[in-house]
Amino acid sequence: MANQQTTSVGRWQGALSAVAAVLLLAALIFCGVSLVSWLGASGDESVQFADTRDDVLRVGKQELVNFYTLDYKNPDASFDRLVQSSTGDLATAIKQGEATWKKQLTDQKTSSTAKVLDAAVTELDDRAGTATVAAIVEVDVTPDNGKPANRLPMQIQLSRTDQGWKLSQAGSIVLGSQ
Amino acid sequence: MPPPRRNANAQQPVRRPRVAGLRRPTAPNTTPPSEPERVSGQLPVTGDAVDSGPVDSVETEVVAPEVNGVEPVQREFPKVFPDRAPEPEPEADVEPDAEPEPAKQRRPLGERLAPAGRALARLRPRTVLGPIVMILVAAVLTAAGFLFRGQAGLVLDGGSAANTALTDTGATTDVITQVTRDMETVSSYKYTDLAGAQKAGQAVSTGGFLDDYNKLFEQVKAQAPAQKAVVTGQVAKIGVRQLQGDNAELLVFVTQTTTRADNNASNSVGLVYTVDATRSGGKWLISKLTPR
Repeated sequence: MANQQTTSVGRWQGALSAVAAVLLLAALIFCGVSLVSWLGASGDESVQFADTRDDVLRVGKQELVNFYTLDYKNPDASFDRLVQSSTGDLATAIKQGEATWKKQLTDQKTSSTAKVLDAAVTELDDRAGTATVAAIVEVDVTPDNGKPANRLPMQIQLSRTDQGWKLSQAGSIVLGSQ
Repeated sequence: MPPPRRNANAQQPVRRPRVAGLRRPTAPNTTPPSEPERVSGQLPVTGDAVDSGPVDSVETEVVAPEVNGVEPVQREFPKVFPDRAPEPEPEADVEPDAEPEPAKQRRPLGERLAPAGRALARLRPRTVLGPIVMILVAAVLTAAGFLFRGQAGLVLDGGSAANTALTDTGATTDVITQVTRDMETVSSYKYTDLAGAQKAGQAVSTGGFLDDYNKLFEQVKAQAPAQKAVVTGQVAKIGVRQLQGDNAELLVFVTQTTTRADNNASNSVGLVYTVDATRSGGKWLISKLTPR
């Protein structure tokens, strides 16, 4: 009796151990393969490129908003936003024209807010750290004096800096001849 | 390989007692005649143990005893027990436990429980708990595996990578080239060939935009002949914001130049559209146009 029970229990346990070991091995392999695929996907160059593209688009839109959000009652803050959003030659030019710019803003007694209606990254060089974004920006001027909001087709260039992507160039896209 | 075994006959008496104990009736007598029979070579192949070969080989029973031999081995187990001792050792651990357990049921006495508990405590970590822990770990690993897979899927299909605008340069160039042509087609016409212009426009339109285009072109057909208008649309700038399989969203800047022969006037306007494009049969078609 004891022997038979012992052997049957032993067999049962042996089978259980074998099944458990097989399960464990299978789970280990599955887990490993999944981990590798995740790491592979995360490290994938095109995935990182896509992240950069979305980053550029988000930052570009924000900087366009910063550029056209002007408060004539607070020219210093408006100017600081411009400087914060820009880099390179554009930043230099903005800083050089500081006094004139602030005087103009104060004198015209109009403020503005901006909204990006749509934008797309048209060029992106991840290695060089340069990108181009095309956007259509709606600028609301207050007081509006009865004029409708301006819609500006814009093209901006961004450069990667230590503080992230910054505007290095901004201009309008010339459409039509009117 | 067989010849060395034959030469080793001298050593067989040493092995024989072990196996001979199992198959006493036949083994000792048949050993000498079995030698020639083994030339068939079956035994070394079928029998795992080298010893069993010479012992088993009664002419006719060569194969059958091999297979059936498993049972006799177990029946005569006790006799060979000393030899087998190393194998049942792990089972021996269970023995003290297996006895007290029934004892629990038959005589539920406290004094019996103590050794049973001790035995159980000894039993579980080594035998039952081991597989359970292994299965639990397997479950955790499987869960983690699914999590990792999910993350990988999220990275590849759910996040920014799902949008292949610019990342898939070929597809991006493709959609840009074709939608540029589509937009120039639907924003251009000559009063001399309105039917041809409409046909071309319809060919690059689909879905909701096809209806919009036809409605718009009714106005064109009403006005263009009188104005003798020649309208040319030109894409000044285009960017793909979203590209996912057969669907794309683009931002298109168009300069539309109108020349009227009735008053020799010419002007051009800028138009900005968010364009939804759908690929059908390898061709990107405009499915929606949102003026900006």
